[in-house]
Amino acid sequence: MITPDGHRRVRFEQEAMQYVCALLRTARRLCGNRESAEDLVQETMLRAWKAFDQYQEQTNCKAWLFTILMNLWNEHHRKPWVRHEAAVQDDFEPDQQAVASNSDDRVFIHEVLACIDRLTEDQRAVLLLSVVEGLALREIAEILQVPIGTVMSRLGRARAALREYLRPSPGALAGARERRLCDAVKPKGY
Amino acid sequence: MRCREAEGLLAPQISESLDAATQRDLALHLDTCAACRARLQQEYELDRLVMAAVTQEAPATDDLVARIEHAIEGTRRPRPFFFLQRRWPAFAGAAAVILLVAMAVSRFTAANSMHLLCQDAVDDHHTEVVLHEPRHWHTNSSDIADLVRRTVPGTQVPQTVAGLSLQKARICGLLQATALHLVYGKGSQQVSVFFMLQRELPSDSLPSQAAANRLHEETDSGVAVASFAQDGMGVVVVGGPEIAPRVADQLALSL
Repeated sequence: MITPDGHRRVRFEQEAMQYVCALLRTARRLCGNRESAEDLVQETMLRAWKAFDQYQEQTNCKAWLFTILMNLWNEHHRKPWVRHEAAVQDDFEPDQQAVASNSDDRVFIHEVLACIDRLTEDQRAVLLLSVVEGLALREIAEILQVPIGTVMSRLGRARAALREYLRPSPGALAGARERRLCDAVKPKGY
Repeated sequence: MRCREAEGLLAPQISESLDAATQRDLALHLDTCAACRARLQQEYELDRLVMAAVTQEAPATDDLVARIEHAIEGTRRPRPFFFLQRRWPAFAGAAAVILLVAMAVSRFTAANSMHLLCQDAVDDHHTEVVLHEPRHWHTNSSDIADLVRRTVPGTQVPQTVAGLSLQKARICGLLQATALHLVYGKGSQQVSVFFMLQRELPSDSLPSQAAANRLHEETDSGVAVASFAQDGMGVVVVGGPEIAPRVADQLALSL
């Protein structure tokens, strides 16, 4: 006989643990450093484990986990005694170096990330949840507990701001990097 | 639809969530407007940039997964969330008080964990072996070897022990641990042997080698339980009062 605890643990492994990577990459951009992001994700998973009986099978586990993560984030980071690190550490770690072996690519990735980090927290959260995590706007509205219209306007502003930040400065050399940027941010009607 | 209206709807996430009529209007507009089509391509390219940057930057999670699993198992106190970092003096004081209380009750909890584990094993033995609840058992030796690899890798499970032969195997859960449940038997005599990784069990739920290698106890249901921990492996044997301790003794020598 599989005890209720054993069965629960197996379900948790199968349904929730697969999203640790997704939670971590979002937390990393919210917290600004890896250590705090890992703590936030660990706390999220522990809270999810304790509340796993409330999770309904066949529903969207990823959205449920992101709800917990965003609640924790909102719960803690707005308090005055919490140290908020606005600037994201700009060091590339070994695993990143392996992925982005070309130094131009590393600089490029860093530049895009720096632009994402310049967005307001609300815009950044919506952008990450929709573009990177692929959650539906309705799900994001539930996660952030705001109307769907608010999600749409935050997303629109985030995209407009990101295009502005990424726009190459006048007179920049037209290398591969600039061409990639131009593809994404060239003016309307180009 | 005009360009000005279309402009706000071109983000892929937004256009996908539009109602059918607006989607149709937008599609008609895109068919006739090259500028908006170009803008749509820019939106997709922007998504690709964001996605590529965030996912390539994502750090490895192996250590974190291990930390989470340990914290869930309760064998390691989770690292404090970052907001605790500034309140460490208060939390250090609280931790000292908790430590004193924990020391006072540790004897009780250790005994309690052992009792719970043994009780869980006895319940499983009674339900699955004595009452023959219909469960999926593996009897084929290669299937059993596969179960061993998955649950307690590296363990050599004997085919016979104390004159009993290995009859069947299945996976179950004891407390929070995944356990390999083996049944050894001969005639009407059957003994359950549960193997678990010790790190998956609450600490102190099995007698340590230093304290007592085996714990034998008679239970209310007329069976005996013998349990021990050895080389990171937790073993619980449930069966008749005569045979269970002998099986445990032999396993402790052979593992």
